[in-house]
Amino acid sequence: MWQSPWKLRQGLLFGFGVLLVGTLLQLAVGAVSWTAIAYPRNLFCAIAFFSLVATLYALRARFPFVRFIASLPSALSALFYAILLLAIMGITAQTPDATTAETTPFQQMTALWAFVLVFAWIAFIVAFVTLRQLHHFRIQKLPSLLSHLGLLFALGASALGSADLQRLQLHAERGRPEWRAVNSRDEAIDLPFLLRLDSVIESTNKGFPQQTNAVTISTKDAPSFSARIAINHPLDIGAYKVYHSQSVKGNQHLPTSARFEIVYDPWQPFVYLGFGLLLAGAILSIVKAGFHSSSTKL
Amino acid sequence: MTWDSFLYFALSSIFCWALGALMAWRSHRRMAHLFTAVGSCIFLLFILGLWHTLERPPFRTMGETRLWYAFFLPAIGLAIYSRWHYRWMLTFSTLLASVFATINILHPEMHDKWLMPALQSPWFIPHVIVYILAYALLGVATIVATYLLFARTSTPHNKLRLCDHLTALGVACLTLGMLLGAVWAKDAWGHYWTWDPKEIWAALTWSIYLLYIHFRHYAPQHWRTALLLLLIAFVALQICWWGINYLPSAITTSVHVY
Repeated sequence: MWQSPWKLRQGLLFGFGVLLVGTLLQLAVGAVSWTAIAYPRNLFCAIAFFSLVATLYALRARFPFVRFIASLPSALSALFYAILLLAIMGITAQTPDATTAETTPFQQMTALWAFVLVFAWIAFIVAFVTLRQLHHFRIQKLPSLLSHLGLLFALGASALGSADLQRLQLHAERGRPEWRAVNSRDEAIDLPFLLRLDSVIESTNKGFPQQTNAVTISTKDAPSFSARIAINHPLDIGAYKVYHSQSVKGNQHLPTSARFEIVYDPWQPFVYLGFGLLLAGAILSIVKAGFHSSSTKL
Repeated sequence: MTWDSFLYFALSSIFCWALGALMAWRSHRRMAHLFTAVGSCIFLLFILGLWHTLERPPFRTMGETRLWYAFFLPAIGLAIYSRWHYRWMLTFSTLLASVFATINILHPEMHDKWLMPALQSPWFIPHVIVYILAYALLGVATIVATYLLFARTSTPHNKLRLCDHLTALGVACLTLGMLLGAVWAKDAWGHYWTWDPKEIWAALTWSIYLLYIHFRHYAPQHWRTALLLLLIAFVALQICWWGINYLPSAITTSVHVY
């Protein structure tokens, strides 16, 4: 049964084992805490992961298990279990930020070790396959290489970067510069810039209320500048992105303040690099795909 | 150019597209290309004229977004037909473009009905168009798969290659749709992925199709199992598209349920 080379049956049993290990981990150490790998730990994880993949790739001839992990049966099994977990997610209301007595583990799937291990397995396979395709580069495999590399960057950067992702709320009174924001745990965070709300322009555009906030931004290293923030028109300030949230009316029913959501996402460039590679892979696969059959009249 | 002229441009375009689709079924490829291209040019003339009159790109109202669907579907359908000669492609794109154009003809009150601010994004139209194309390609793959599963035949190599090809194209379009949606969400809401039920089902659907593609490489002889996977994937696709509106887990939590 367990003689090498392992096939699909062994792969599915291995995957069951991964779920079991994840469950035991959950019971032993509790839920996954993504903030535990905040910078620089997430960077060390990335370096360690790539080093491990590169080392195992170099030693693949010696270890049948390594050859199995990077094989198609392993990929099929990993996909199977990922689909299973996603299906459970799809039929249970996810409440990642709210835990009550009624909350089941499946409602916080991203906090389950089983989920993390299955996706780490997929990341390993994708990294290994990418390395193999780079090592034995063929132009015909370029769409596949770009897709795998893009998926690796997108999955890896978004997972590791989630530990550094901050979503802050800033309440700005008109005319008063503000630099303090609040995170989801109601902790005050000092921002590296000042935001002054100059005015809130309210208009009704074809039946829809539209709010545009005129602001002035001041930073230490650059001159102040004015900008406008509205829905679909956020403002970039370095790794911070400022989004319109809502305005608050005063006694005269005029907006006297506004609330902004500020997202700090330093890993976004790597996620977007992944997106770009995935996009290139998808477009190339469309362009290069070939099917011609005169006997199939469709 | 105003919406008052739309009826004439739309009917002319639909007529040309329909002729193009007919020529495709009769394997008159040049005429199919010519008529479809002429239809698209007529439609584009209207769009450009409206753009000039409005003095802004026509992306803001429900009527205007339907103009782009009606324009791009035959254009991309023509590109797919040109490359792979699927005779049904021009019929599909003509039908769908006609639906969007007809809605605009029958509902003039929608011409100036502005989209809600969150939908006024340059990512909205391409996101929807690539998903419509993906659904078309994967829908046909499902029809072929269903036929093969019930037909008593030895290994149908040609039709299996057709399934593989349609699925590969469809998955590429699904990938584009997901990426465009993620970038749009980041621009609008600050988060490219929030595990919203729509996003979960999109990832689930994508993963099942990937499973099919990889399984076909691994075990080409087990084609019936692979085709069953296609049917399961199509069910997931339907749930993602409209089924989540009825899922108890999604009704109260999804921003995509209206």
